Amino acid sequence: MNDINISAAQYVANTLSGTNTSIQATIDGQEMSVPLDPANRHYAEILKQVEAGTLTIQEAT
Amino acid sequence: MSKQSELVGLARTTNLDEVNAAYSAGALSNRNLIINGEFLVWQRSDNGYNGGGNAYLSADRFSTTRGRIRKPNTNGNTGEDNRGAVFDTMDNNVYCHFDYAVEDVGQKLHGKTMTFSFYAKVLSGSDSLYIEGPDGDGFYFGGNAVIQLTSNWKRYTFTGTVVSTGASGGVKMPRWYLNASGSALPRMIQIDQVQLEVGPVATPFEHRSYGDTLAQCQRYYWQTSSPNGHPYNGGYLAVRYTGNLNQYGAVIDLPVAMRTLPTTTHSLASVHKPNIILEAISSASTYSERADAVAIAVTPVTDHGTGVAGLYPYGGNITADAEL
Repeated sequence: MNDINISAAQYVANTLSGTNTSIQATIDGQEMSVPLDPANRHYAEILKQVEAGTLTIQEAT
Repeated sequence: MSKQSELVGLARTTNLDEVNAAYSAGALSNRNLIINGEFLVWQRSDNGYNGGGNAYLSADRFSTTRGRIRKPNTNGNTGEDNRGAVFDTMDNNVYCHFDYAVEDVGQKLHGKTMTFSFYAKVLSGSDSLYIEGPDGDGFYFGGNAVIQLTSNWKRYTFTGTVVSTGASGGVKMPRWYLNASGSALPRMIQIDQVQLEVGPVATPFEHRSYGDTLAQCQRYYWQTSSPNGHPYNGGYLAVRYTGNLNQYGAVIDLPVAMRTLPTTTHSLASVHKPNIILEAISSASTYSERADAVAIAVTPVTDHGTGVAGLYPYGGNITADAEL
């Protein structure tokens, strides 16, 4: 997967447990909910961009 | 036992061993590892254009970078054979390519000799098509190739070896690569009956039913059916209203367990519920914590307190994406 534009990434926490369950992000112009699963290609790309320093994930509110 | 019967018995055993070996290698049944190779299923749309990075937009399981994948005789085009899919550049002066990745659970394909085949043509005249080998995990056939397409359907085959390390969960097929640089018109090719099979020979294309193909595709992508802005036609979707949160919530069971936890989206702007024709919502979200279900939470503008139940999304889709 190449050239994927990801912005506005923020963790979403379970309202009961408070643990992070997904990331809300805008990916190629569309708002998506991305699970924290390395086999998910969007999450894998988010991790790649975070590691490269081109993306920061905001904490859950 | 006579010598003759011994020989017959030996021959039968040998034949059975050969058949068993061929069956085990995947040569006889379900031999085509490409899903939707005949372009039967188009869950997202009949005609999808992508100007940016790799994306799945129309024909299930096929993706493109800077190209269009569409059904024949759409997007203002006529005279195309009603089979397969059309790949076109549309966006002049850039390259585009069309891609497919095969899921490989447990790296079972690693090191296997396999054959990749497809039928292709152009609408008229002739044109060259660049077949580009993958990078990383994929099907390697000894480099790249250029094939010359004509206006007649012709089958093209490539035999090679698969490298599969499990890094991405799948292996990439060779790309159909079109370079539109300097071209005054969009370049269009028609593709059909894509097949990947074990062994060094391309066997006849293995047809599958629409139902079987749809179920296979839904392991990777699913969406609610909401054509032309009509309400979700699966009936009431959400049946629980949590008063203290002012929120409707529901879990949608997916028809097929997906490859992995899916990315989810929604395009909901309003909801329907009994006795109130339309209700505005202030927010909605989807998420997935299981590979076989998608959850949705909808917050209406009006706080109902307690006791309201039964609603469905109006004029929007919910999607779940577990593509490679």
